[in-house]
Amino acid sequence: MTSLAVTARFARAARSAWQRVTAAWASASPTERATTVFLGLMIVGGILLRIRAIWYPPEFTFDEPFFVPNAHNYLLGIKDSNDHPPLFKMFMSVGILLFGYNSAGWRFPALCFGILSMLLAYWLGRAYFRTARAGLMAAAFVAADGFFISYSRVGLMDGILTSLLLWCMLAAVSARTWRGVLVTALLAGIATSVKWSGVFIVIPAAVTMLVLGRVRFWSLLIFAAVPVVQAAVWLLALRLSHEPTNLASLWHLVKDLVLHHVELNRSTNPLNSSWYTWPIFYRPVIIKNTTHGVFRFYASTVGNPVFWIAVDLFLVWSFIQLVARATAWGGGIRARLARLKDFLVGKPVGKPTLLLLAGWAALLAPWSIVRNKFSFTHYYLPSYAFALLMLGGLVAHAERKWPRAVLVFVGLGLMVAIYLAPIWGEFSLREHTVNRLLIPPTWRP
Amino acid sequence: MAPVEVVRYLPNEVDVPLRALLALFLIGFGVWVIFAWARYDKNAAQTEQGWHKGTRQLIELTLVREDHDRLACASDLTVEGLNCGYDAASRPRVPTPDEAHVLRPYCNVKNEVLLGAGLWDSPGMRGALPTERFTVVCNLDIVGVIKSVSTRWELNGKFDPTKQSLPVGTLTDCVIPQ
Repeated sequence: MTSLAVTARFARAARSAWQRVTAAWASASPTERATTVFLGLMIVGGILLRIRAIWYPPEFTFDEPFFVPNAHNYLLGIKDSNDHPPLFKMFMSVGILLFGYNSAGWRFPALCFGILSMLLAYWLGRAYFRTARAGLMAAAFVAADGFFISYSRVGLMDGILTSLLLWCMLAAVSARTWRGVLVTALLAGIATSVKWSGVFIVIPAAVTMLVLGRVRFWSLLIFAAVPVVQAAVWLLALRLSHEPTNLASLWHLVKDLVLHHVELNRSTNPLNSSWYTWPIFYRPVIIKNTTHGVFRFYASTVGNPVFWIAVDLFLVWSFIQLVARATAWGGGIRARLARLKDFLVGKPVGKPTLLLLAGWAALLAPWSIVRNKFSFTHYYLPSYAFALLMLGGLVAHAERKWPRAVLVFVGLGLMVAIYLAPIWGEFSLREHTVNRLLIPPTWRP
Repeated sequence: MAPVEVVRYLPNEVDVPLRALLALFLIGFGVWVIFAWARYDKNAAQTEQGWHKGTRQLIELTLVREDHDRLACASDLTVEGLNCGYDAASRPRVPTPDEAHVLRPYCNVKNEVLLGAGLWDSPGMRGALPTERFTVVCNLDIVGVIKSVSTRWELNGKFDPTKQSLPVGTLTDCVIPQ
């Protein structure tokens, strides 16, 4: 295909997409249009909040000192002494290569992946719920949530990991043959090369493929490629840092790092929080915290309360429904199972919501099992992405019946986002203003 | 106007993840344009944490008397009236700028490179200088950053282009600690 043909194809696709947008706008009711405007404001505002003065502060913040010098080491061809897989630092070294060894350079990849997450949320929402409205809702919720905003503004890996996991799920939803499974496995391997906890994406990805029934069971064996991808990435990293590049050296390196992490889990940290406090954002971390005289500049990881409270209420309501149906009088075990099935496959739950719940649970479960003293709120970020995708689908579904209620919900989400934007996007604030915004004391530094 | 044919794009399983890759590159390009437009490089020095335009830093240098003639930089750029003693073609600048405005490269005790002017003209440096290597402490008032610059560290050495941008500033209140 010539470049002219590719350009023409893109032009046709863009024109067609624009026509669909204008047609959807024309057929929408005034209430739905108002909701769309709010969603648009969330997306535009979310992008601006992610980008604005991202290079401030120009020095290291939070855990950046653990990663940035090691990212620089790849450019100097010397050893990476960090205790995580290498790919995140390799991404960061690309930013440093483009912009220099400065805060703009080392935060560049987090920003790019942070914006990409919004787009992936749109595609995933649309793919799961088969409506562009669900995708738009999911993208807007990711855009207007401080957890995602703060991780797009800092040289840390969890935002990038989340983006790669969403990307992997997009491949899983799209897979129809072994080729799709291979692409999913490659992306899972890439995510795992950023942070080991990314490997748990294999569970929701495989479950999604099986439930959608588009790929053969045996093709899931291709997921064995995940460690191969990671080994390949790691060997490349070792080559760049002029370290021995044989499998025996890699094995010793990985073994030492695993032992180091096991040892680390026995230590304590003042920012430690238990997994069951994460969905209620009991103790979000302020990952960028600068003081200039009487002014404070914060990037708090607290999510948008309108969104996470809605997710939590839905989870609690679903749990109560399940328990009520399982324990209700009447009928034997079959009747109870039938009632449970009716609830799970009926609206508003249904297959897409169940699949996203599986993703949410699969990425949270490891931390509930390990239960160490060295776990932090940001471990919840990938899980939370699935929660917001699910919320996008549920709200889009609700809009068909209750457009005004959804308008109020989305408007409230926007208002809270505007209210909390200063402590997500590092605005210049005095301490009393910060304390007014970070209402619970556990949200404060 | 003739109706436009609506093309429903039916992506295959490899196209969808590739589309995300294309999007990532486009986002990266967009961010690069925004960073360039926001002139990030004018506000953040790349060599040292916390050094940015408009700030004053206390720095410590170790020098020898001959560094006055040995250290030099070459660039056509002028920042707040400060410029290198040589142009980008490594020719001495004509007319010769006065001492207080000539930039020279220095490497401080933390091994960070900067371009400073006014050190040798500072009151604390006007007397007889030590014959051995000595330490000078100065205030560096950062006025900008230069990326297109070459530096020379020996009298007859050649100018090498720097790989990173360097903070530019005036060195004031220089003293040789006793």
